[in-house]
Amino acid sequence: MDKERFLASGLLEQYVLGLTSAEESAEVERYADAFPEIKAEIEALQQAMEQYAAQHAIPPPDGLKKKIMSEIGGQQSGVTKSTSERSKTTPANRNSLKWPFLLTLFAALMMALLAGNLYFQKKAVEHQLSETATAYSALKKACEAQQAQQAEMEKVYAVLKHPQTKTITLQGSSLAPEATAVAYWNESTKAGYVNLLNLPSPPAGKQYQIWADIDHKMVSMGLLSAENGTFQAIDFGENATSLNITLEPEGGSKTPNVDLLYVNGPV
Amino acid sequence: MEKLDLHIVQSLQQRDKKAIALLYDQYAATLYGVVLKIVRSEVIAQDVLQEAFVKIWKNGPQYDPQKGTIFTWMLNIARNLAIDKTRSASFRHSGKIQTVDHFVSNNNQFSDQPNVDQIGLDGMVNDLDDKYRQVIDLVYFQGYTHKEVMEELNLPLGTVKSRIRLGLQKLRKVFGEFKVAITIACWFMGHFLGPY
Repeated sequence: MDKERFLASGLLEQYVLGLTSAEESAEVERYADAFPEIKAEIEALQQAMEQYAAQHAIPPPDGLKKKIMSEIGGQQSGVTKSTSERSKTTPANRNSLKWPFLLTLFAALMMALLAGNLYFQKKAVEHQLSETATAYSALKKACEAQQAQQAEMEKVYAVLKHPQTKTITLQGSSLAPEATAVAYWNESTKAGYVNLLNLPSPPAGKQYQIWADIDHKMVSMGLLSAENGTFQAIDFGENATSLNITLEPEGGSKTPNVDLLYVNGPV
Repeated sequence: MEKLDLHIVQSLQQRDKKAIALLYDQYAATLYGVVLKIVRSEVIAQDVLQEAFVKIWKNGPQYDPQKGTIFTWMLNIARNLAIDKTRSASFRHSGKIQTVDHFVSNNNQFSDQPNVDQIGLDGMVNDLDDKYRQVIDLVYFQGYTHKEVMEELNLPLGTVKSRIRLGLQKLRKVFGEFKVAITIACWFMGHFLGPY
């Protein structure tokens, strides 16, 4: 039989409990001599049984030790001393079991504390991480918006500083004499911008639309937001002679409602 | 073998009576517990324990550390004496024979006060199923043979053997884990409490 099969055969357990026959015991001992693992296994099993037995320990009555000591030898002198010294600490057996128990309890407590601590640390770190991630994504969004805005501004700035850019002032009509708008018109880059100033906010369902007069026909250059003071990109129309802003139904019209002309000016 | 045991064994083999005193301090309570389980009478158990220690003293030089721990050897002596007692005519007449069920279900009936020794491990060993405990207790504490266990519990031999193997492996594991826990506890004490 090989070592592993021997370990698993159950013979060792029978041996430790004293259930093996003389031949079986001899065989176990032969194996134990040949294989250190088997010897170690036997010792571990014997120790386990010893501890199991120790569980059922009951202290014998006090006088018994003295009786035994006097029975095994007449001359007690050397022995009695150590006997009485020892009997003071008779619960040695007790303590030997109580202490390990307390130590185990202590170790368990320490480990529980450690585990708890680690758990809360992990929680805190996870929380921090998610907060950081949220803050990061907000920051990233803001940054992207900022970049987009800046790119837009640069485009506007490029148009404004361009030597060929014409500035067209659109004057308020009788509908809104106070209103003005400034358009930037560049024949060479074909770019147009408009900046509304002082136009009244359109009533609900209405929207401003800008038109160019090209060959005596009004051509839409785009819909406008009612926001005053921002540069709004508009289409560029070749050969435009004037720019006009009218109030139209939301979504814009195909032809302008000239009755509602707010501002206009010549190109 | 532990140092203490080694020291005791040497003393025992050198016919030093201190060995018996030390062995008594170390193991008397355990042996008494086992003997009491078998003979079920404190008076008889004390007689048996006394006879056992006298025999341990007389047979000391025959103990062979190669064949097992000193405790195992002592337990065999005490147990055999106790079993001999239960098989003697006078014991039978005293009505001390009891059934296994009674034996198994009343592990602690002899101790008047709670046994402090047991606080630590009892919970763990209680995890051992009764079916394993029954077989192990009969064999280890009562000295039953395979055949006697089979008859007593009405089980086939294969079952008895497998319960012995599984039961012992479980016990080994329980006490092994306990040892690991102690080792860790000691490590903790050493590392964190050392400086104070």
